[in-house]
Amino acid sequence: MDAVLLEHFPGGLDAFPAAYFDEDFFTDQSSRDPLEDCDELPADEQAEVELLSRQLRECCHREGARLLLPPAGPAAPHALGAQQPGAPAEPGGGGFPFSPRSPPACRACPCAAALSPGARLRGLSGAVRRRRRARSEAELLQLRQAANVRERRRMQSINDAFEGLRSHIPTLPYEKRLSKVDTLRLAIGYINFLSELVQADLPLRGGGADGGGRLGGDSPAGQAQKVLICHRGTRSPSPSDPDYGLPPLAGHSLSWTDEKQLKEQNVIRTAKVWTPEDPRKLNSKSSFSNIENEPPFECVS
Amino acid sequence: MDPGGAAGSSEPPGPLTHLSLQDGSEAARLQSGADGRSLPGSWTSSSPERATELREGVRSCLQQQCEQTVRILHAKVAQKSYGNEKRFFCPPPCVYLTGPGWRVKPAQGQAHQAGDIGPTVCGYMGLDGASGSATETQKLHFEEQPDSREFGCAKTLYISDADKRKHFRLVLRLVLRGGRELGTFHSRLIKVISKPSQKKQSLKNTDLCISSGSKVSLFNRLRSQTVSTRYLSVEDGAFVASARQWAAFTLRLADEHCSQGDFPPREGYIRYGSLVQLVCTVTGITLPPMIIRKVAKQCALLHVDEPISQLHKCAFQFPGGPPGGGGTYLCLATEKVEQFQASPCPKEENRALLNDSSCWTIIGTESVEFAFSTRLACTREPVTPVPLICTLELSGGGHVATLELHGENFHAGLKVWFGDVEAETMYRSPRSLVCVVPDVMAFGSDWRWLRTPITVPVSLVRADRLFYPSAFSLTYTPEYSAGPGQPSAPKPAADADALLESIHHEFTRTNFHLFVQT
Repeated sequence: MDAVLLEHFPGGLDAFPAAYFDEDFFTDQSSRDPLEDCDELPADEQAEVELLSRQLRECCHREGARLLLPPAGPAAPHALGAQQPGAPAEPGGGGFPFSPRSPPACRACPCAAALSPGARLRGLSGAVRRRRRARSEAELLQLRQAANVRERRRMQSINDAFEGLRSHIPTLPYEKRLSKVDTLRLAIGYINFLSELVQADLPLRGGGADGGGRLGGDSPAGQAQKVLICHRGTRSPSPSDPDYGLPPLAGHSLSWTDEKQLKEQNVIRTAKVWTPEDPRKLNSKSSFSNIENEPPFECVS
Repeated sequence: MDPGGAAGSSEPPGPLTHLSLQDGSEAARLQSGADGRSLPGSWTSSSPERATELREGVRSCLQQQCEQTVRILHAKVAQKSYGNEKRFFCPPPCVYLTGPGWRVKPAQGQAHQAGDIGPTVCGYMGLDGASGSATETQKLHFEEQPDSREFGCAKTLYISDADKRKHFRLVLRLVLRGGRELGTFHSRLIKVISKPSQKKQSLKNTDLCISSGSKVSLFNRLRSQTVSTRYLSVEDGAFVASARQWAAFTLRLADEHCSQGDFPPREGYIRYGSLVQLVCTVTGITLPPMIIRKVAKQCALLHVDEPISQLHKCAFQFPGGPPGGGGTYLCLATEKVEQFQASPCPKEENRALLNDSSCWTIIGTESVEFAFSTRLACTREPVTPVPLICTLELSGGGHVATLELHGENFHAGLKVWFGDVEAETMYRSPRSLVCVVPDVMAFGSDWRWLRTPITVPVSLVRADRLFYPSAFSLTYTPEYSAGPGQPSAPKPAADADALLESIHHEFTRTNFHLFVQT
């Protein structure tokens, strides 16, 4: 894929369905294998379709790069097969705007019908011709734009999902962003690792030989909890130091307090209870008592 | 003393707004004027005389308390006045001037004349925004109280319905005798409401709800007459119904199952029927736990459990009475606060007949406190805007730790001080300052110092040496190296993170091949 082609896609490479990249990972495992779309096609028809598709693609290549057909490869006939009128509609709700599967791309290629070699495909070319008459240029443009939007949205949702997955996978600190394939590979590896860990129920070995079998032995523990500063100009202890022999200082940890908050809590904790007098009981006076010495108040709710 | 720096501070934080460390030190150079104290990280005071002098000044400010505090106390909501009516804010916004600095002031002025009696400062309070109509400003007369606080209140402020704002602030302008302006202080936001909510409060819209631990004021008004208003207050260690002064109380949910000595913190919005406690925010005196009841037509409704709302009428029932309506309630008898014996409502169950004096109006209050000291100041510029610190955030570690101050009214002319040590400070925004935590050696290089925890107060100093104390402090605790890879006393919260971290680590280590990118 060259840059000229790419600039028509705001999403860059990500805007392409993975099948357009020669990656066995995706073509092998994708549940959205285009083959599913044409498995009802008889074998001889398939052969014709294949022929047609090759011609179609050549034509489209001549038409200009903007059609962006995939290079000749095994994926192409499948893609065309999906265009069979009787075949199921686009999967997944989002159309790929420049795929030969989508009717607008096909119509944008004026010679598609003329190149049709077999009578069996008259139905297809007839349909194309019919629709070409029925829709104006503006309508087509609108359809194309709508399809583009759908596709962009679909890719966005896939990209977001990948981003979510990426955030759960440990990475090396210096690593750049993981590609989709690597994300999936690592995710599989990580899940296997975790399930092994759970099944084995064994403590981690820790970093090195000295790692004493404690979890987190070599991790930057408690970084969020404690901010520690080392001393500047630390040197090795010498017998002339006044604190020679005392355990060496690693540094000082920092913490802060808000006196106002403390005071407020204190006031509430040490509050003195003042009980108003009851005028009916003449000798009962407003009383003062320290709550710490007060027997529990009887409560009726 | 330092005219260059002074000029810099009086200007609003404009071009000296820097985000990065380099720029920050550049700002420091500009802000501190010509004295050349601009080396980044220059916590060691190997600096000119002036810096030493300032350091000594700050130390004396911290040692001999010389701060002046302005505290504005006001309600959270205000009812608007329609047409010609004037609904004065209730309780009236009031101002307390506290701190030894207020008294030191006249003595410091050389001209100590015979006529120098009476208040040294007076205030003017009004609404902010002053949307055209030259909003009435009210003069506050400060009078000294037995507790040596100066007190003033604005009894006749109101907001007209012509003012369409949903929120506003009060503005207090303090002027020293002689006409010099001390500063302009703003209250917290006040919400404008048309009238107390009649609707049952929903916890989905908690705008008017009152949460446990928040501060409230309670007042009683006979036949809705302003003149008869009395506020629950505390004087000489006793609860009183004052016609003049009000107190803010912390309203908290009390636990029915705990003895009174225990005050486990309880969160949530307060509903009628809850057992609550009112703790005076100044004196720390409290009434016994009482059940808060909704009041309608001079009856306490014993079965209502909806959330309480601003300006609702309520009553406080002392627990322990007989079931039904015959309990005792918090009540006032002119100045005094006492108990009132209610009687069961003959017509309706679950109601208790009250008298006028046992129905209280509840309203949430706010307070804001500004502290400063002009003792070191080399200018006579207003002390405002006074920076307020809300919270601190430590980060970094290793060789450099930083402290971020979150708050309000920050500007580029401020420096953070830890004790008597100035820290390199970077201005980020009016709500954020970042500074480099000084090395512990800056507070004393004696080895004994390093072996005990050291706590230093955090304060701010403006370029013209105006000193702003805060209630925050930083503690350095010595940590001993207990051996490699063995963090001392891991906390349980950190454990989970550490576990995940170690899993990640182990995975990375054992599956390194997976990280070789394709």
